[in-house]
Amino acid sequence: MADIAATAVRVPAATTANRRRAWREELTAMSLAGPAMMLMFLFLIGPVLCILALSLTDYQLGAKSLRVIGLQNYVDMFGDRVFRRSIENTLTYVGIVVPASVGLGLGAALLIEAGTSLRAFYRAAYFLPVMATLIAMAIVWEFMLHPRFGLVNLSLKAINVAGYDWLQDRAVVLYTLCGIGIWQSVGFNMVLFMAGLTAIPKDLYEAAAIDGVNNGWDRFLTVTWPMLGPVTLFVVVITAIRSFQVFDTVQVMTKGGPNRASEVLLYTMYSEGFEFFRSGYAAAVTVVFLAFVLALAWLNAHILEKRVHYA
Amino acid sequence: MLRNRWKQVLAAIGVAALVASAAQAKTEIEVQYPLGFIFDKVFAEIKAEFEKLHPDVQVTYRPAYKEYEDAAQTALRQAIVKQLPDVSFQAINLQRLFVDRGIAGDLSPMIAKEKDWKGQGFSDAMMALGNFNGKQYGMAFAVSTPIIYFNEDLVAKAGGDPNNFPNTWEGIFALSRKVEALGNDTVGLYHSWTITGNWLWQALVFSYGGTMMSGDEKKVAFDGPGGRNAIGLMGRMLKEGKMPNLAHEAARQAFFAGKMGIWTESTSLLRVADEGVGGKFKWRTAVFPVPGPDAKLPTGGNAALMFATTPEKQKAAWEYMKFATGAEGATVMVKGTGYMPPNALPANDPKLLKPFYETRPNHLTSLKQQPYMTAWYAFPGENSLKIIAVIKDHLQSVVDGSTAPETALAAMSKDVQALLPK
Repeated sequence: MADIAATAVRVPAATTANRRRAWREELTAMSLAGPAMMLMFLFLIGPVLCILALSLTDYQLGAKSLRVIGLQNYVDMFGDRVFRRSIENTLTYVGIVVPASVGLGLGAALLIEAGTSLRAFYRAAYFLPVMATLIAMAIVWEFMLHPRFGLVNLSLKAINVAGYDWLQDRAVVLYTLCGIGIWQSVGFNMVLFMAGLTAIPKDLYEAAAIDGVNNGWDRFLTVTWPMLGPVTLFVVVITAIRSFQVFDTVQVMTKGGPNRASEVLLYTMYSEGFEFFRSGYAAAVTVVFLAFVLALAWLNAHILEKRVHYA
Repeated sequence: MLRNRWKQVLAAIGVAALVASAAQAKTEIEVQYPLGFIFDKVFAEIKAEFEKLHPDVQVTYRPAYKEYEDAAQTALRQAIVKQLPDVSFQAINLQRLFVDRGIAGDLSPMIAKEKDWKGQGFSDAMMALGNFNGKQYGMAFAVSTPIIYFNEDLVAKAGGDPNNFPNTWEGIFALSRKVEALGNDTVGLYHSWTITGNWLWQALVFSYGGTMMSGDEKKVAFDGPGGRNAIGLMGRMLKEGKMPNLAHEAARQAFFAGKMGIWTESTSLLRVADEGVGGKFKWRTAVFPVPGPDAKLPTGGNAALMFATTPEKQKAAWEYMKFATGAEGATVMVKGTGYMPPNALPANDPKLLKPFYETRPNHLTSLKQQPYMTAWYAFPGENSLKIIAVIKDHLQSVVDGSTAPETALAAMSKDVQALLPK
């Protein structure tokens, strides 16, 4: 009886102690994670919420007051010729740059890995565009693409092909920018693929050889390509996000012109926000941009990840 | 030895302190102006002359704005981070941005304090360019109208008479075709439609008697008869005048290189053209055609706005603005550019500009057009900068031949209407 009473008394005491300990642990955990959480909110989630809120107003940069106008910015946006153009151009850009630069990057990585001579040189040469400042390179490109005395048109003339006014012709300007975008990303993708290639165990190739896989193409299809799955996925997503962010070449070389033929999302955002001072509208464009990037990240996390990992 | 060294140090400190106090007595004002390629020399000279008269003020120029829209955008950004210059020269049609946002200072109290204001030559017509809601904000500095530049040699070679330059578009197109037919990549005509703020679009509409907006500023009016004639004319420039789709810098280079017969531009480029052509061929100016009833031409150019906020800087800034836009400043500016003086005094003063005008007939063309001068229109509301860009896009689609003029005009008026305050 006394025992029971004792336990009866002791149990709540123990739980209080437990609870106190649990509480202390929680406190420790919070104080450890707190700063990081706070910073994350301050610098990552907070600004996104601000942009969302701002996109529902008619705020003008530097204005003293603003008005909540609901979804009006979005309505205006989808009725705006320039914005539609901008979305089309951005999607075209992504649609061309991603497959081309991933394919070429993979090709370059395979070729460099296959040979043994001058490997370091090739690696450095292909990686150069990634290291060079794009603004400086854009100026070099501008010279090369000059309609009269640019290297590109002069070379074409030498083999009797008529060139274009690459940056002023509405029909070709976007493709010119795509070309520069590909040139810029191939090296980066190549490096990632090379890392992926070195991670493939040699015995898989030996096993394949025993199973009768003899030529290079079959080796690629049965071993290399499946084993590169996760890397490829990563490269595609990163290249897609980087392509959505195309801005510097447009700003330096075409300013979105001629007549909006090279207008892209980030450039629209910039010109609306910092040239026309329509911050509310620019925020709405930013939200659309974020939606695209988030969709890509979601695709990556939920659909593709499951297909490329072999546990 | 050591004591001597100390004395030297003390003396040096004393001198430094004296210099510092002298420097403190000077008021420094910062000034920013647009279009460096036209104005750099002029502003350097104005600074030198002004500082001679006002040794207590030090004028510092910030790097010139590239062009007018860039000037307004830069200043609006500076306003947000509180880094505005004390005086800023802004396009006449963009002053409104700074007045509406409460950035530009009201000059009326300072004018009221002036002793002999009426005698200083600031005419009512010019003051009106900087007057908003009955208050004076801007002091017009350089004013211009569009004129025609033509290459005498090419015109004569094509069978035209430089002494009898046509003053109708029909005559100009006929001549342009002949110049273009000379071959060898010669351009007959280029109308500089891309000039900032749709200036030459407004010039065409106004010259046909049209307006940009209805009287109450609620509805677009450039889709009326004036605008329809104007957009039709732009279409005819391509078809009948053989005008190529050039960027306006490229067109300027073509004229300077002697490869272009007829070029419509602002009178402000006279000095730049003098230097650009450099005597390679003979050229002259002619009046801008004004076909419509009740024709007008928009007054281009820029005006000085005061952004200074402390009384001390405001005082110095006002002295500077008065000097730059007054008789002496205007004389320097007119001689160094192609603009017209904002001030009535110098043109008739034998000590100032009278002899200059007598020997420079090219500069007289714009003065002859003074009766046609009207305000360079600024669209109301907060989207005015975007409206300028939208109009430019639509005009581009006419000039590159991708859209029929009437279609472009309809789309343009619809887009602009949507951006106006509701």
